[in-house]
Amino acid sequence: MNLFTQSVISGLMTGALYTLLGIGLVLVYRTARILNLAHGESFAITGVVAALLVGYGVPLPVSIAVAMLVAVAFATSLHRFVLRPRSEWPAGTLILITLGAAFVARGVMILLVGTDPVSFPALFEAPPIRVAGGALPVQGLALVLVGFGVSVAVGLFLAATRSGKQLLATAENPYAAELLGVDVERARLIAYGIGGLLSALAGVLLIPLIAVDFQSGLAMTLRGFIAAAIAGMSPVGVLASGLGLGLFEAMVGAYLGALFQDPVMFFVLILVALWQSRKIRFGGGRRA
Amino acid sequence: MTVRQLTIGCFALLAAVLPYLGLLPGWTPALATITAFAALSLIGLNLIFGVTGMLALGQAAFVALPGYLAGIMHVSGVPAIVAIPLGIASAVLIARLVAEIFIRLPGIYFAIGTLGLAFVVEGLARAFPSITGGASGLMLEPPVAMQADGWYILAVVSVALGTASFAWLVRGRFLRTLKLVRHDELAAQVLGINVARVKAQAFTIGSTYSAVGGILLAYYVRVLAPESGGVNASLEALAMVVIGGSGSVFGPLLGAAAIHWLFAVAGGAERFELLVYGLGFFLVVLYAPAGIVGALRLGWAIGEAQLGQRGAGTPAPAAAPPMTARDAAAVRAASAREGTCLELENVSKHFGGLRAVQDVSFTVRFGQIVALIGPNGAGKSTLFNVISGIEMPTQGRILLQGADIGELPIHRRAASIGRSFQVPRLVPDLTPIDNVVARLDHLPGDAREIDGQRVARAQLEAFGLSALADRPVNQIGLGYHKLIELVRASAGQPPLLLLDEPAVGLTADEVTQLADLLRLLKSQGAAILVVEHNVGFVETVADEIVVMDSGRLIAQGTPQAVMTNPEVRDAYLGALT
Amino acid sequence: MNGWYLRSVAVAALAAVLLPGELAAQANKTWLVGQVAPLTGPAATVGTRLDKAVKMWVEDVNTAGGIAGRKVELSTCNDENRPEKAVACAREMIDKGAVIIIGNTLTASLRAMLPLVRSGPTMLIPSPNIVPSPDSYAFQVSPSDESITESVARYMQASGLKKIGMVAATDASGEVGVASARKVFGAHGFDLQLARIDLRATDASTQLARVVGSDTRLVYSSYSGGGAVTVVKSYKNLGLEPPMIVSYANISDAFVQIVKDVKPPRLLGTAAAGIVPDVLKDPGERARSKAFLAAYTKRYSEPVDMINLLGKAATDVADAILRKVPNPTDFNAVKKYLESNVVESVHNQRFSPTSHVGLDSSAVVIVELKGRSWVLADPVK
Repeated sequence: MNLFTQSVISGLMTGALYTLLGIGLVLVYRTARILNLAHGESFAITGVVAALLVGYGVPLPVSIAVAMLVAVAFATSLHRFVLRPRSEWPAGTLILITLGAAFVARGVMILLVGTDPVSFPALFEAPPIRVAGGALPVQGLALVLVGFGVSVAVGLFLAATRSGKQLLATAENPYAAELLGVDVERARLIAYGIGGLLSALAGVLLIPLIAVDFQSGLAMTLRGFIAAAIAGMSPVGVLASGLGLGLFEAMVGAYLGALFQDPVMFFVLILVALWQSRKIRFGGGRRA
Repeated sequence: MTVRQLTIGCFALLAAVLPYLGLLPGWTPALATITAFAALSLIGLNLIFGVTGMLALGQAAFVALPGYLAGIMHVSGVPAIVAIPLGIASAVLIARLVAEIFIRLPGIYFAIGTLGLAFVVEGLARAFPSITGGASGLMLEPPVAMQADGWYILAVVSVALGTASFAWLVRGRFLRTLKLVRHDELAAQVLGINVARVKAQAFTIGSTYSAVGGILLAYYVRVLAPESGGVNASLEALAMVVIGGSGSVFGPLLGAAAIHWLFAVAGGAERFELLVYGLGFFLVVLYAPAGIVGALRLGWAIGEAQLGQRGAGTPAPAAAPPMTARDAAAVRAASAREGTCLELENVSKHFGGLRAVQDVSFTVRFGQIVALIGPNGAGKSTLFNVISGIEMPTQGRILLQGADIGELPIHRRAASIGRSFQVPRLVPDLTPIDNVVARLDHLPGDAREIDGQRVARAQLEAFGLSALADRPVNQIGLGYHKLIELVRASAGQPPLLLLDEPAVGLTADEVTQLADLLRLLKSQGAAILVVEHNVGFVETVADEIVVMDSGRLIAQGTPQAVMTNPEVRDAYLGALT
Repeated sequence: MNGWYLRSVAVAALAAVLLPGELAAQANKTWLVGQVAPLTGPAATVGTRLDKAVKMWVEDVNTAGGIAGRKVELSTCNDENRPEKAVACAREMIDKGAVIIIGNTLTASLRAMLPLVRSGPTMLIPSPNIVPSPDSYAFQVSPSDESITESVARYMQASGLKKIGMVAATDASGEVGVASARKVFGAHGFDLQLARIDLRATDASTQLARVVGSDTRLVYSSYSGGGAVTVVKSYKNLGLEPPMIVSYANISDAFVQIVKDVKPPRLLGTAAAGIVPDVLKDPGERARSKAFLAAYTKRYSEPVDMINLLGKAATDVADAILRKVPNPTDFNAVKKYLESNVVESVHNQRFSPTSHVGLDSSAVVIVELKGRSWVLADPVK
């Protein structure tokens, strides 16, 4: 086996995951000014619900569709029924509300499936594709294609459709958008919806390759946040940052060892944060 | 001692002996010990996040660091009794360095940077097991053997000292400063606060609490695992601060106790444990957003109201104290000022290709009101920003009392420039008095609390606002905010006043009152530069009018001369009609 | 001062005086057994599975009327595998007067609890990662991690293999696993190819690509957490052929359910022999294992897994202490008893004055997943 090829393949898969999770987090952050700490729960909910339904003998496509629906419903109702009525509250408290929602979601999932990991079958059953000394499962290929494809699609949606433009306007400046007649609340709801949907999609494509348990959501929230942070909270940048992160993680893991993954990756994250903010720190006058 | 303080004291005593009474199921001395140590480190996060408003997502890094440093030093031969203070000191030093790097990062980047730091600390602790003990944890040996009760006493005493020191430290001037920084960094700078330094201070002091609480807990537990410095622990800490009551003195203690206890009793719910814990947490943040302290305050207020005690706690507004000889001397000195105060020499400000201000020169003398007018986009606001230091001029010199201030940072111009904003930038949860004192705090000279309070009260009295002086600003009508801000800007008799649209949003009566106030300030010797759209108001108060259009100065002179200038009528007045 | 205020203080003071007495009235009529286990948090699977075995024992004992006329009272404390909570839990147990503490938690927590039981009570530990000192009151009821690794080495010898690829997590189990592997495989002169995998990893293909060479005929994944599934699935997805050994912690039905369709051609695992009772030579051990397997399945409607079995071992020792030692609160007597007697269990525990680990590598076998059940594995051909 070729370690380099395999690292690239692994990096692409992880990168697609980062991207799918990051976009939703950015959209929500930009439109609603909230860091949604329950973001990754949509991923876990998808997995848990799909696994449960498949276990009860429901056909796989139906299980997946229902699971994704539940996940999107979770994300949107968190906004509609919990956060939106409290939009005047301080951001810190709202962030903790999302953390509370994540705890509740985990509490429900542990009741549904217990503490053991669960999974469900892959959509694509076929031998792995072999390229240049590496192997890529068909489901993994789907993850990569869908992950990056959907990210581009979201970019197009934002740039080309009326709803997308309204969402972007809200992201840019909610007050100005409101003055311009944009339905800011609708734009936020769409942002949460897209976030839930993309996390659910990540779950559908990735979980058959791994497993999910009641607390998988937190790690996914973190992944999304890291991708979003490196992209400077820009929805378009997440595509690049996700891909870069995935490849970086795979390469560090392969050549330096997994123990150094976090220190190296987050040291780079800190550098990126400093770089991203250089204009604010050094431009526009000396604001010591 | 008030009833309220006495109650807090009684409850604190009761809380300290509570674990031994067995009153509260699950609240054991051991749980209370770890809660107290955790609360001690949370005081730091409360200062950083709760009071100063910096979203530190990785504070656990500074909770775990000192233990690791001390433990590693101990292994390499340093006696524990030396290693522990050294560990704390090095952690605080690292926090100071980190503050230097991160503090200038705006909001979300500060959050990301600190989050990254937590990951780095946790990751390094795992990556070098031969030094750090790795994932299995670093073993720590306390320098003195202590029984469980000894530890509990240490925990209670240290958290009591921590809470008391926090209450003593974070009050008066420092508290006002932190609240200003939290609420509005720009306004804080304009009032003379070196925001970066204050934030670095808060972060360093906060991290000291984190470090002390963290190392005590680590030595009590004797094992330090990498997770204790990681992001989960950091998020949990944030949750505790908010549950307890963000920014309040007892918030960290109550938050830590609530979360630890809730978790301990949720264990009885078996499979439902996580749901019970999650729902409990969720409901508290939803229905008691001000935390437990907020709920207690509300309860206290209701209790008082039911007993008809309302109002007894708040003192009647004190009459303004008479002007002392020293105040009078200051005012006389100010009125004696003469000559040129502000001088702009060929000032330009370009943003890339956009020439916002081009080659503008004019002067403002002491005892003179100059109005700066012009259509939207004429460059008035940019020029104001250049004078107050928010923007650096691309070209030209800005002389204040003869000295070039063009290179000075905003906060270092505050003593010479008092500024108001188009939309007033007062701290909503402080009283007008405190808002004014917040400016006096950062003026040069001896700033004793009592002096500041007196001067502020006198100034508010002079402006006819003494009836409102002791109510939080957010309970005062918006119309008064402009006037209060004017009091704040003029407090301390700065040579130059920059007033940004002071008359906008005021009623006709208030505008008349404002005009009188400006004349009063003028008579006290101030040089006043006003940006204003209300031409009628400008004509009545201004000694001189400067007109800008498209970044250029197009006219200058007495109101009559300017208003009849055809170029002005074309550019500005024409645009209005 | 007003009435409202005085009333509240008076009520609080009255309550403070009255209630403790009431609590003290519940005298020691039971054997208090404390259990510290992570029931939530990252190690929740381990905690809940050990807890099931312990609960079953307590129910059985109490249904049968208790021990020496006293019922067993189980007090479980969730430590989330966090050392500070483990300390609070352990101190609570000690203060309540627990006779035995079952430390059903993981490495860092256990290391924090050990110093607390220096003068008792007896502490029983099922985690292979801890080797208690012989001068302590702590006893480990499972084979040590080194013994488990030793059994892998033995299997390699039987198969004539000299090279092994190993994947270990970045958690404590991985850390201990790596140390054992370096020591044991090194002593045998085996070629060890090693890669660590991050706990958040969603793909193990680079790790596997690194440790599996063209001449590798056996791969060992010591990952004991949920992420082990990722390693097995990546293995399958890479189309790798050599047999793969997974950790004893994965010898469970939940694991089998997930990997049954995506497992490598031969999926092996390290396990205590009790999971395949027929290989046990001692008829007593065989009978007890079979009885436990049947009883557990009946009680919980699921097959026994390896971690349940370790929990059972702990309860067997606890049971023996309460029945055989005249005064179980005399911890020196307990220590002496355990060090000088064989404790009958699913695997008889043999502690000694020089070792507080009850099992050695002879209790560990390599099993193979055939269909839905684990059987003794044949050597690699």
